Amino acid sequence: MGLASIIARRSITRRLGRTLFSILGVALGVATVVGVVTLDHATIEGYARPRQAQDRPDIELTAAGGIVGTSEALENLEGISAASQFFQNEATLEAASPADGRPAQVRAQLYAIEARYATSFALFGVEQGADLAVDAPEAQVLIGPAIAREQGVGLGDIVHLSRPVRASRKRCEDGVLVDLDTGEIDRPVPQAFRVVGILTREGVGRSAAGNVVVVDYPQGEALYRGTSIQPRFWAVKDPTVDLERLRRTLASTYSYALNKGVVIGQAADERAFRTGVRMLGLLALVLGLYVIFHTLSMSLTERVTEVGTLHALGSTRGQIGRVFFVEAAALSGAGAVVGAGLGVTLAYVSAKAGITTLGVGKFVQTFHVPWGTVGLLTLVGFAVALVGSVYPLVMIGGTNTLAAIRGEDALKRTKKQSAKFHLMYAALLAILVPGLYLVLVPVVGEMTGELVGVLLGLLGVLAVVILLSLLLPVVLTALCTAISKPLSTLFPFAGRIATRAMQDAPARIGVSACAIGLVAAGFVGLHGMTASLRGEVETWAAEAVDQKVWLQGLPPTKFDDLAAHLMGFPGIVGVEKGSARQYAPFLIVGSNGPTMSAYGPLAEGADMLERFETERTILLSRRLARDLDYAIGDSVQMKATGGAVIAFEVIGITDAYGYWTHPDERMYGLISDRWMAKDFCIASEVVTAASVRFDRSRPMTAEGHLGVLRAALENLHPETPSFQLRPGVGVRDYALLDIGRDFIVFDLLLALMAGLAALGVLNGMLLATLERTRELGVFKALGASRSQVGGAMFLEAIVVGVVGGGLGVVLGLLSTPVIVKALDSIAGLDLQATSPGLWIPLTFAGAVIVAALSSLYPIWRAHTVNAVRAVRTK
Amino acid sequence: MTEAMLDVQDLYKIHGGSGEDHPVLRGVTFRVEPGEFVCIMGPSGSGKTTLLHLLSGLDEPSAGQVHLGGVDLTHAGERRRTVVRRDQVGYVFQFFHLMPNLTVEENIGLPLAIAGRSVKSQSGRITELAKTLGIEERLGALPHELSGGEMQRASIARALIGGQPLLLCDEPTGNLSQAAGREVMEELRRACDDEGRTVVLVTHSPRDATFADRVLLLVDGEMRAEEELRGPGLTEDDIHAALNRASI
Repeated sequence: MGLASIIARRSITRRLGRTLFSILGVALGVATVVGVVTLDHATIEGYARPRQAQDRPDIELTAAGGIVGTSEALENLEGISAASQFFQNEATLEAASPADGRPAQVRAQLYAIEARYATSFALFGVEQGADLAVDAPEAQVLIGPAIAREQGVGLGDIVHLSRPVRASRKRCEDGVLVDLDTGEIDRPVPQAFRVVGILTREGVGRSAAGNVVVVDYPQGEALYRGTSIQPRFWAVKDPTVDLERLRRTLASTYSYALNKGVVIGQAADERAFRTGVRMLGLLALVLGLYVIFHTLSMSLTERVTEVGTLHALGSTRGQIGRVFFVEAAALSGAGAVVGAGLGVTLAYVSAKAGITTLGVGKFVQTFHVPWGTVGLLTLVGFAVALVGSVYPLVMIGGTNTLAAIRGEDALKRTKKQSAKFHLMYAALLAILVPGLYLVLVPVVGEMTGELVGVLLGLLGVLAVVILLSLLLPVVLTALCTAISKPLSTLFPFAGRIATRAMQDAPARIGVSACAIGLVAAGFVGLHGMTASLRGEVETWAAEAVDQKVWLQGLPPTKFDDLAAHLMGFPGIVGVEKGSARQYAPFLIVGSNGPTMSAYGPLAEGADMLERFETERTILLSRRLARDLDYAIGDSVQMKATGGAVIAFEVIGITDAYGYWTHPDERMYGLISDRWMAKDFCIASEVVTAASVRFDRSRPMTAEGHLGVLRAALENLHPETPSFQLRPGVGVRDYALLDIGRDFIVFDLLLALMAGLAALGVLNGMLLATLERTRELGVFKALGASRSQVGGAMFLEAIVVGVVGGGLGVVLGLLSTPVIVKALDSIAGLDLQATSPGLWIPLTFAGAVIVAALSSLYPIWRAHTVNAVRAVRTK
Repeated sequence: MTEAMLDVQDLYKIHGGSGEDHPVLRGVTFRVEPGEFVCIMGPSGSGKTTLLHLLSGLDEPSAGQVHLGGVDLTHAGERRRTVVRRDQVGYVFQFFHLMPNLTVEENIGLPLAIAGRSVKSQSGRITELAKTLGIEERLGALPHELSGGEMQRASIARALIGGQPLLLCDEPTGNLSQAAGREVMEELRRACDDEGRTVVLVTHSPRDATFADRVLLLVDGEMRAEEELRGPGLTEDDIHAALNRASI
């Protein structure tokens, strides 16, 4: 067995505490980041896969009236990476020479798509044969597996396709579904197609139970000549462009439908949440690597006599370096592997418990692990932890062997090298690791210039902390000793020993305080963010839900009668409809203008109300207008029932009307119920639900509102008292509760990081204890009690906690506006930076407690120091 | 004339510090022949340990030359000196310097591992050596479980296992009881007589010096050639007398 393996193996197995805590340091860092990435992947896959229509692309578009869209024009739009003309219809397939006993004709679902773009969508695969050729001399077709099997059709066979006899078509015209048939006799003409490929049982190949055919668009068009084919497009979303920007791009020219699988996790607030979770993962990774570096550095100090002895016995510097390298590789490797396993397990347990990166209480059916990314992140964790071991190697180069075997400071000559290495490692942790991480685990959504600026700001905070601790630990140490010195009067022995211990080990104190500071900053920054989010909800609630009550479970009632009845009761100034709804492509609510005219923009004048009622106009919610960049006067394109695309002019942006509790959607538009009936054929004269608005100028409690409404409704429907009432204050409170519940994920991640920081402090103190074994033995020999020795270490931990906590609170408060800016950039949330309030003292106290707890094991180790043994050897 | 095991010529070592040079060794010259047991005595601060560091190539002289087994250490780089030390020198430290995490057996086998030799194949030799030194029962123990004498004997076994021709011993009995010290010295004498090793011993103890073939006195960094004592049959009285003459 070689020297390196003997020493490294023994060092690992004999110093179990140090080994365990070092591995745990790397493992917790890697586990957090692997857990975060796996959970996010599992969340999105678990939600997206079951909901994603497998035979549909990311986006299906229809051009607005008067617009002649082409796939080339679409591909030039921001947010679209590929597009093709498309239509889908029923067809009849007849084999040229049907096999015995097979029916001559079979109904099939026909997809016509531009052959040259077909592969861009990856919606079907070819099991046998080839894909459709571009500009083929004869008409080609891909057939579904069921047709091939049941009709006995094979590659190279000729099949005849024809459209079915046309069914009666209808369109919504002025609120009526009208028949568009002309009454002429319809005679479809079969056309010959050569079978060039058989589809796999995936995507399009699975639709219509495999009875499906795919043809080139022009040939499909020829097949259906003489009939009205609704021209549509399939498009692939550019993943680097946010949904909002895509929607903005398309809004004025196209009506579109997004595949649900594409939308999941991509909404602005979801992106912000997922990005936040990912950034916490990065912080955990950096913290873990920071802790292992610190541990390895400290370990060198402890083992400098060992290094000197080995050198005196004839080991070359290279041999000694290999000892440290093998040891670091073993610790880092074990930490990374344990971390990866722990991370995947954590993600699995979280997913099963309903904790996802889209919030809490959301359960996914399937659990997918992104093994590639997990492997790469594990490798990054291992590699960077290993780079930490280069530090001892660098230092060994300058170790003074004679001083080491004499028990003197053998690392004096290496101070300059040490500073250079610290700078290098700080750059690695603050720049390279975040850079690499962002490549492997990118920000969710679009990387705008603004977002880059915000991220750089946050990384800057991280860099300041790391640089401060690694390059200028003296600053923090001075602060620590300044705090501890006065304590020497209270605790003469413990105070003096703690002060001196801190003065002697600035690097250890700096790193410990900063590790705690980073986590504390995370807590304060995060709770500053949630406070800001709560503030935003409260602002929204003041306009949208306060002084309102939602009413459900009414027997079918004419809305006009209901409104007239309710508005006769004291305090009620408005009644809104909630049942007339349509997605085109965002939520559209049909409303009655006159019953909302006492508040909000419609109260601004009769002209406004008249325009809302008589023209195709729309009121947009604030979040919708902000996200899709709509302003008053803009035109919104909506696809009416029957396919026509109709424009509505934006006349107001407000949250005063239209919010409904189910579904909880803050992005919507309101049109007059007249247009809802006329363009969408959705009637709403009779309702079973409504929301009721009370007069703000006559303050009344929620109970008062409910009392008035109960009285009013019992009067209207004395036979049905079972309607449900939900006051606005309840809606607001639920929204606030939702924020707190969803952000528990962040708290859990920060708790893991607090564990990491505690490990950093613990490792530092433990190694310092081992290094000072002789000194502690002498103290004991001189009569120092256990409480005096332990008290000194406890005091040191408390001071580190106070400084780390203080630093964290300051950094956290400074970070809050940056995080709020990030939310504005990622999610388009218009937030005001708000103080985290009670979380400031709680975080500070938590930092002190974590530091104090992490000193307990080193204190116990100090108590086990054998005084006799310690003083009898040099 | 045979090649000396050690040939030291006009050796100087000057320590700088506090703006003032402090000469530790001043023109030290002597030879040690192969198989010889030489003891260097002198008061604290006379430069004995510094001399051993220079003889082993751990430190570089300010002036003068050290030839070890024919190799000029003065002009060798650090790596060359390390390799020479590994191949030529067994070192016994005053404070043992056993590796705290390795068992006694592993500590003894360390020079073999350093030289890239198989430790397993030499386990019989390790046991034999431990038996000779009376620590056979302690092979599985960790250093902190040993007594001072046991630690020093483990340290001597470590110095002997590699078969290096030169043993440099820095106050090997300084931390031991009288009985343990005697056992250690007998072991060193045996290595010299039975195995033909060359031993250079630095000590304060006249009793230890009686085991040597030759005693050199180092006073204030200078070798007192006139007080050199030659054995065999040196007594403690002879040594005390020489020390008195040198005002030590």
